Amino acid sequence: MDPVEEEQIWILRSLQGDQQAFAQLVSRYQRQVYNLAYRMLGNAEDAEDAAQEAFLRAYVALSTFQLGRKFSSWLLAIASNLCVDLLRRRRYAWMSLEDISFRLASPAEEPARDVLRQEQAGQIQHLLSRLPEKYRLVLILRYWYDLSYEEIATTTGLTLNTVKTRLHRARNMLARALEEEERQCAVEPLTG
Amino acid sequence: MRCRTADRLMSLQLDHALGVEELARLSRHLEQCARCRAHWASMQRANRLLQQAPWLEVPAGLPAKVLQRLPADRRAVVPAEPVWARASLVVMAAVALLLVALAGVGVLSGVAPGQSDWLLAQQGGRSVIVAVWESVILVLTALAQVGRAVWQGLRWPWAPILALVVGGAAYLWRWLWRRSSPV
Repeated sequence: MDPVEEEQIWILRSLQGDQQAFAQLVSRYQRQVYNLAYRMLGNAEDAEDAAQEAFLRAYVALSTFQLGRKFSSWLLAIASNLCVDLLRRRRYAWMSLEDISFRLASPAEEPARDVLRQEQAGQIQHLLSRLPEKYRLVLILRYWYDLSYEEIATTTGLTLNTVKTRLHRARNMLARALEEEERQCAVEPLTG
Repeated sequence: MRCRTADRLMSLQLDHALGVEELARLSRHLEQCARCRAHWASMQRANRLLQQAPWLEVPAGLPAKVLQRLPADRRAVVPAEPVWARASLVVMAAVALLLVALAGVGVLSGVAPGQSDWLLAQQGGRSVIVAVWESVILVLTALAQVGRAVWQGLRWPWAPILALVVGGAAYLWRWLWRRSSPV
């Protein structure tokens, strides 16, 4: 059976409450959803939680999915929205006291230099984490998922021009961040 | 071509979305402008880094974990209270503290030498200061309740805006209090 047909059957069965069929969908798309969450949130633990949550949301909202459309795009849109939400909450979480004491206890800025010494995978994650989430998202969709401008626009609900502008700004920021880190690397031997 | 235009074209070029003519214009600009050349080089480096970035392995057992959390009834999922709703309580407390502080300052700065008799005048066994203080607390509690209820119905960007409005109102109130107080 061809994969698209198989997928439609899984979706229809899930809609009837067949959870095993939904588990098949999860198996097929877990890599995409998990990687999006990892690149957005920056660590494995949050990424796994977010991936689970995204699938749960997809299950609940499955009746709004229009059969015949691309399931992966629909799922990525849910996951993207979730990650952006989570990052916003993270930004507002500083207001809770436990979080403040946690931040005081851990030297948060220290690991920046260690990351530089790590392999490139760590470097790109570190650079990504310096971008605001809306710019991070378009870069991830463009590079990891190889989506076209149009597909990014549908996934994020942005206009085509906004997608282009965001990609352009995101790349600019990334290039500047890279230059900055290279400068820091260059002076490192002098400062010890 | 201006550097800003060149900058925009660079991004499009990385997506191979540039026409022949525009590409030619971009290369001409790059030949002339050293700053853009350097920027183009680092943009390309960033581009390579992104292209080489690996896909990560999914932790084992994710489908099983999702399966465990699936509701029996697809409509039975209740969204958890968002963090900002809890955060708004903290903001509210902060605003309330600010209001109390402002009220305190208002009351204290309203006391001019020789006027303390008025403030400390007995009103049914309680001084004016205590009465004002108690009413302030009462109003704040009510405000906090209303604020929380409103915030739960609104989306997060409104939280700081409302906080500012309430803070501003408190300031105005203090100012009016000072003007009307017999100093």
